[in-house]
Amino acid sequence: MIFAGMPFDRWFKISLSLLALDAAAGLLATSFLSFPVFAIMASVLLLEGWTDSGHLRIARRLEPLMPAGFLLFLFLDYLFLRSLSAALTRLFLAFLVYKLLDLSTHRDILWVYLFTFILLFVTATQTTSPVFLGVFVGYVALGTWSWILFHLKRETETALPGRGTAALTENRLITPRFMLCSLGLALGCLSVTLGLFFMIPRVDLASLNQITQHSIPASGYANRTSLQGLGVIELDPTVVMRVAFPNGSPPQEHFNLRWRGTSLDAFDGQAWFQGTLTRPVLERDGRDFVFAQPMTGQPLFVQEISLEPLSGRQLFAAPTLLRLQGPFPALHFDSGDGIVVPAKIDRPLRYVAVSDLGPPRPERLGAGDGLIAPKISERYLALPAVSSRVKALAREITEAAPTPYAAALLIEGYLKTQFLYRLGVTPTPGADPLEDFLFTQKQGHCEYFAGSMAVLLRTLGIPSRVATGFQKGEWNNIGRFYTVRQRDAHAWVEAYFPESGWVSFDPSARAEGRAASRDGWTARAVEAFRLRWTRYVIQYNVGDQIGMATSIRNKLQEGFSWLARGWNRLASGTSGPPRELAEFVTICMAGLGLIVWLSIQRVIPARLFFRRGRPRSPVVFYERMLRLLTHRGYIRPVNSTAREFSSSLAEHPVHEPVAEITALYERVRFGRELLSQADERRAVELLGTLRSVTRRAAGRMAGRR
Amino acid sequence: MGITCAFGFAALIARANLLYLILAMMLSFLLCSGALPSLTLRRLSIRRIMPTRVYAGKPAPYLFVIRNARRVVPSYTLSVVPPTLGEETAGRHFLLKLSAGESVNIEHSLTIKRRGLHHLPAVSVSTSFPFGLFTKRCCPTPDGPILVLPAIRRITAPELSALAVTWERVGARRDRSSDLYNLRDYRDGDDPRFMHWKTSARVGSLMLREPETENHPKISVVVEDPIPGTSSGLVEANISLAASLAVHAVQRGWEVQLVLADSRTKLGSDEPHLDRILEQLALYEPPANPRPLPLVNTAGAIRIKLDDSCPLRRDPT
Repeated sequence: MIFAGMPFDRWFKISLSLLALDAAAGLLATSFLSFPVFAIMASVLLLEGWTDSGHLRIARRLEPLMPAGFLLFLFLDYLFLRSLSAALTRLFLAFLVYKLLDLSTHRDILWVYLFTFILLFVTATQTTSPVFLGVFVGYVALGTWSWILFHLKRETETALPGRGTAALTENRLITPRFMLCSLGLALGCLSVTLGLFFMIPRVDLASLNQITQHSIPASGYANRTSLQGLGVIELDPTVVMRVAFPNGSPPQEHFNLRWRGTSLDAFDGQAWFQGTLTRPVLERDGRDFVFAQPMTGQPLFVQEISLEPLSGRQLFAAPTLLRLQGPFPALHFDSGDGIVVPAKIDRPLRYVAVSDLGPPRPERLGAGDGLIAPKISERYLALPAVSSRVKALAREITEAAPTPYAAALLIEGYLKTQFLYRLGVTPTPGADPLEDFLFTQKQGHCEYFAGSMAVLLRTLGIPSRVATGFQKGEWNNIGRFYTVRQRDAHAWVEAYFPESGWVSFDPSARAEGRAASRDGWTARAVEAFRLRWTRYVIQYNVGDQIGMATSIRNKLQEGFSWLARGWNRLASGTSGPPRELAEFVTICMAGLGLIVWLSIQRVIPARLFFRRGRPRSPVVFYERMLRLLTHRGYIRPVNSTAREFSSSLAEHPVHEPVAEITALYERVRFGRELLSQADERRAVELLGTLRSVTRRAAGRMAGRR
Repeated sequence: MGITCAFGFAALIARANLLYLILAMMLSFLLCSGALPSLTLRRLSIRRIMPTRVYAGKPAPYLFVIRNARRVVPSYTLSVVPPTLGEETAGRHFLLKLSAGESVNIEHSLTIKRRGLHHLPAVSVSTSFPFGLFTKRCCPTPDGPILVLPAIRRITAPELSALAVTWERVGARRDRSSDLYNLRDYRDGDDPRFMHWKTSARVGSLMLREPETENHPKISVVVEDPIPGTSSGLVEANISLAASLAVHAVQRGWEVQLVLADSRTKLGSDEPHLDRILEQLALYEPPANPRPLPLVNTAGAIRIKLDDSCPLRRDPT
């Protein structure tokens, strides 16, 4: 009913209004448009499009004032918001609504299309949110439908002036099938769009992502942390990064996985902080930045990290970081052996890190002469005045430890088992924070644990520092990556052992990450989609294109090799794996069936694959003769029998072969005789004769002219 | 295209992937605009239905039948331009929608001034569906040539008088017409349909009815080649006269024969025979030098000299 009753023009207006609303909806993902304004705009447009009453049109007498009105709007908007781009965008939006309410000419409609395109362009430059994908798909679908209707309208009104509108409505163009075809066409355009998007060559390894105005404030890690409740980890679910594993999921035994940022090496009795900041530039080996060589002999661990914009410069990876590859012109060490980029991270970053997760070799721990290099001892053994109680506690805990490594383990175990993990602990007024934690409160957050253990180790002469970063986060089993949030910020201890280097200890009694995500299936799917969106669309670059081309080439080579193997096996009659042979035969049969079906559907000419044999039916000969004669100008009238047609050519040079073929045709067609081979050969000869006779006659005629 | 190129340049400079996405969308629309009009025109067949005879200088109405041979998909916004000859302006027919399997007849008229074989240009069908960015045109296989017969005019009474062609009843002969001429005994081999049963019953033996026949005059229209330098207008006028004579004769049931320097038809009075005569006259081309005529052994040959302004001359034979 709805399709039958509604006039064409109203359908067209509705399609235009929906297209405009889709383009405007994209601005909701930016700061340029608020939802109430969008809702008002939607109500106005849909109402006008549905009723087509024209009541909301600007009065004709006010139209000369419109340019001044728009300029005033732009001025006031800019004055209020102080953003020229936002003001201009809203000006275009106002133009769009104005034109939509008064579509008088085809040019007005073209203006509407132009404005919607500009809004889409603005959205693309202002956001990287996956919401843009929905807006984009909607724009393609609605744009396809609307543009088809516009084409029909324009062509009809041009060809039939004055009657175009009536003709459009009378023809009942808008049917469910028409809508389905439009949708199919939109899907086709989308498919081509996707293919072109991945194929359009990029010019740089590092794609320049959109600069975001919203950086995540650094929390949970910093180059200074206090034991007095400052640097409290916020229970903030904001995603900081996502970590995927190109070489497969992480091994199960690495449940203590962490993402190290930097470390704090100086303690003043109240807080841990970084000492002297130096910026040595890191070495580059080809495309990789190299930090260290593998030491444990264990398989290396590859992580693909998608980092959200942060207010700091820190990069994160699992310790011990060996190599790093990413869109960085340069990288530096900070004084805490952390990796920093030269500039603030104001856009999403993606990089690949290779780490050695293996535990220190047992034969190296605690062995050796225990001599520590002066630059290590000066820096990582320095302590302010620490009370004797703290030193005694350290000695007491590690009394039975035979080696420094064993001592560190004992301290770790002591803190983990004897203390409670708790946020928001109120310190005892006036008390030393360290002693308050160790002897009074016996509970606190991870910085307390890490800071205390580092102090205890230093009192025993074991160089130590507080490492900061994030716990491994939540495992997303849909996208197969870890989602790391602000609330996963963590601190732990690194102790230095000669011959082994820095070894991590986590004295915190905090739960070891959340192996499984607390979010529902939908949230995880959205998260997985967001990662894919950022990875394969926002950050798609020429390296990905090269990788894709290489992958396609390899797969094609594998496919051809497989086909060749299967064919050789069949041809030589040797037996092979039954399943592979069955697959080969099945695929060949399926391919043959597809060709046959396509030939039947006339998608491809059957003669490409199937040769036509010589026709055996006399009717075919006769039809060939008619086609030949028609081509030469001898057209058989529709009301003429075969014999009459033959008789009509009595005076023509073609008469003899035509008469003989006609006789043969009549004998077989009506006399029910079978066509012998001799007759068949004779028919072919006669056709040849006819061809040459008509060619000569045509040549003579051309010569006369 | 210009906007797309400019946008592509902007995306290249900005190196923003979402701009590349929009650029890909624009390119895909361009590609679809280029490919889809061809699909719209695919499997459209056009057939031309001409009148049986087309005469020079006379408007010949004919039909175009455009058929969408597809089974599901309709064709939209088709612009059909029939063929023209010379300075004739082409009309344009617009079809908003041609459903799958539907045929549409388009009437058109054509006036060809000169007799002979004419190859009409093919019909042009174009569309720019669905986006109007590109127009594709197709010209289906042209039909065969059209044979335009000489112009036919009325033979005036003075011309008939000049020919001294009169119809005389020179005696009835036995033939198979309807009027009774005679009754005779039935003989073996006679057509039993002409048995007169009443008389046979009365007489007691089979009697056959012999009908009367009309006297059909026989005319040979002999066309003599013109001398070199004769104006084409005069030649055409005289050829038109020869054709008009043949039509006039056949309309009256006379037997007519056309004699040219290089060919001669048989005597006949039916429509197919007339068609052959008119075709020969339509295809006649004056030679460089006049050729001798063959002997005409029939009574009443009418000679038409193509280079004579008073061409009619009855053969004194």
